[in-house]
Amino acid sequence: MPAEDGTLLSMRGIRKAFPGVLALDDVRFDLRRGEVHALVGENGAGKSTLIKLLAGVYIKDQGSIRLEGKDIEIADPHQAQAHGIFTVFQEISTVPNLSIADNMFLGRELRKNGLIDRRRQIEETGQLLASFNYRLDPRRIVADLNIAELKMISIIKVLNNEVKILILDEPTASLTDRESGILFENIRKLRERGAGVIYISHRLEELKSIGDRVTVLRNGQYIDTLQLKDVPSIDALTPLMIGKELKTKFPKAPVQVGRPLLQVKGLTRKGHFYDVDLEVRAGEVLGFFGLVGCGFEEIFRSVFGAETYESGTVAMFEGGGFKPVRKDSPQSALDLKLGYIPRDRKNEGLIMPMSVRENIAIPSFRKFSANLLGMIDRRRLNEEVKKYKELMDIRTPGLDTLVETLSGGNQQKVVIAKTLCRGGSVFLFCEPTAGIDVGTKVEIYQFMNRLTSQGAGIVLVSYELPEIMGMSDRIMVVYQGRIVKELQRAEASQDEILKYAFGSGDRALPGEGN
Amino acid sequence: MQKAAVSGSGVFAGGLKRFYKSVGMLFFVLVALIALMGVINPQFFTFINGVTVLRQACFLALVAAGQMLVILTAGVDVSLGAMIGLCSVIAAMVSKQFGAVAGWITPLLVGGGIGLLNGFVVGRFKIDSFAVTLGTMGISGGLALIISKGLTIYNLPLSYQSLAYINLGPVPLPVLIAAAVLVVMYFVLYRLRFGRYVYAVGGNREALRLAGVNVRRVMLWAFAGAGILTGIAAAMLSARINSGQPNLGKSLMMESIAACVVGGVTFKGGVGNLGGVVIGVLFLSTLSNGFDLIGVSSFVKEVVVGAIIIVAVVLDKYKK
Repeated sequence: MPAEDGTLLSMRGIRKAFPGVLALDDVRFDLRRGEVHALVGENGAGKSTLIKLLAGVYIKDQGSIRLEGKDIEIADPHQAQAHGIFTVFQEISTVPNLSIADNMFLGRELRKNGLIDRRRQIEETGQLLASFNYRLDPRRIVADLNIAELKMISIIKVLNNEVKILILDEPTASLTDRESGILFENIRKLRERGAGVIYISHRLEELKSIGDRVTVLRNGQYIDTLQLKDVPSIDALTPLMIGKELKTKFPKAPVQVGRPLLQVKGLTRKGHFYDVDLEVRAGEVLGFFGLVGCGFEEIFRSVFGAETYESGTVAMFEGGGFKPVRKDSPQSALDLKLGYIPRDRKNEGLIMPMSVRENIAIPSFRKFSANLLGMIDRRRLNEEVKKYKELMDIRTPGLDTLVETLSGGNQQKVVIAKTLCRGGSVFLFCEPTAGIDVGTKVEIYQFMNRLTSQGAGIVLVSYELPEIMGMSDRIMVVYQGRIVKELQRAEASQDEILKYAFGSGDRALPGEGN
Repeated sequence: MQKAAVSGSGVFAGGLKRFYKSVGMLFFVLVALIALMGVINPQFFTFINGVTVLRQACFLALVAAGQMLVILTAGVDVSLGAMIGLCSVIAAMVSKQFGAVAGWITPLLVGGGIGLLNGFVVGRFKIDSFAVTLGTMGISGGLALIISKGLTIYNLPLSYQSLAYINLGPVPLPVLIAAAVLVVMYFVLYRLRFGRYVYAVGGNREALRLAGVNVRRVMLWAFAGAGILTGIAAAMLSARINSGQPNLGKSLMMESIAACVVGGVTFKGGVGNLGGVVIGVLFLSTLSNGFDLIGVSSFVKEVVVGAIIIVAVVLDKYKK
């Protein structure tokens, strides 16, 4: 059917599954000529997956994509670009050790007598940048640019093509006003030419100013498409994004809050987080919520010592008083009973080619080999490991099974088990249920209940608002590396948390940016 | 093939079965090779020749065990060959001055010292071990030539060579020493905390650091261990020729890597077991003995060892 109604792109019945997760389920999406169409949803709603299907990064399992009335298949990024579909991703892909000009012409170098014509590349890049009213020396090495400059380079590189559909994933997150201005100016130009723009952003004010329609996704499903001018405020979209199924899945038990166990004061790493003050008390779950890029993961990686910080202090209550946790020293944190359950199981939590047994035991090896040679008391080790395997109900054929063969949920249990085996009074749970099936999620929540009932303190860091609201006793909202709001469990509402998370709370926005 | 077997966690349970699973195929290749050698040259099956093979194998076994420590940490030590020459030269001079026993012990200290240097730089600065050990390879080789003025050092105390020539019953002492060292190595790798950390560093360095383990120290001692084991080999090799040679044992660097990869130790780190390496050592030694019997030149041997490394790595990739 020809597209006389101005439809440029039409996606129907799109389905995409990853191992363990149904990322997109029967999703539809339309884009008209000259339209800016916003895509919104919570973290993990499927926005990124959808645009990656269009960009050829992923291949859809099912469904149809029609471009200008013709069915098309997009098998790889080259095909996407051949169809005129260009994407500016959140993560920037440039070759850092090359110059701006070299990056602009990467893969289509200008040649003269078989050699690369550097001079012409630099000239043309300079002209291109100038045509966007953006001044940068094309000879500069990309690694030396700041994030905003990098982003603009990626945007300009894309705009230098015959663009039919431009996809922007959080484009303004790191841009200054001037740079955003250049971007919006060019979006207008594209519209006049009849191109379409798909725009993912958490900044809803921005959407209203440049967008026409908005499509809401939730949990990989299509929820609704609205005219942006009919959306009175951000709050109107929140229920669509969150859904109603709140709190039921969260077996939160009442708690007895005791003395402070972890104290963090003035923790700062410029460009990442600023002046973080917090206290975790025995028996409580302190929830941290923010949007992707808010920087709360870095905060807790630094608290534990996995990453560094510039100023501030971290102290644990241990042996009758507060003792400082040494900077950059996971060993010090663990010795003072501060445990860390990392978000990234594969790279930080588990040693994949080793057995379940050894993964659980490795942080505690000293405990099992307290002799001069460091000889392992295998019987004691076995007993302990078995205890935690049963406690966490890890489902594995045996303790000698390699962790890499376990399911995501069981792997996560191994990570928790090894942290518990080492022992702790405060546990930092960083997105403990990411990529895990619902059943295991509930088990992990129950496990957190059990820890708090035994007097441990828990920090729960999560991008999932229902989880944060369901499990936390107190909630702290992080925006651009700062704690912008603290809420008690009883007073916390979705709308209010999201308002602060989007940076539109009553607190003045920090000027630094990052 | 079950990957569980290769991880080195095999000690904890079902040793034999796992051993078969991980190195079984290689074992049959070795048996086939031995059979083939026997058919080509019946002399191969004599008892004397068997002892000869082991005698050759014991030097490689020590260096390969050291190389294994390093490859398990996801590195490689290319300085081990040149290290032997330096150890040999210094040992020769020391034994002339201070007697045979001092000359036997010195190589351990020299090898261990260079290993510590390797391990310190690799761990402290998080540098690729290839670059660092390439540097110490140059340094060791050069120093050996400077100290010896490029010449073989003769006239060692007569007792020095006894390290290589004493037999206990029918078994030469070097073979016994190598066997004893391998037993210790097994104990270190599987029963000591340190050994498990070596596997863990290679498996996931960051996870080990976040488990509160001093990763630098693990790297330091893995390289030092490789140096010490190589030092033992250097002492026995020098005793065997009863002289100090700056170019002694150079080929053992490549052969040690070959023995490891053939034995299932992967360059990615954290995977491989000692049994595999021992079979890898026997495989290479049998091959080289066979070549000697057939009369193939040692130059050809070098080509074959190089090819074996490539084939083993490619096969390892497709095992998954």
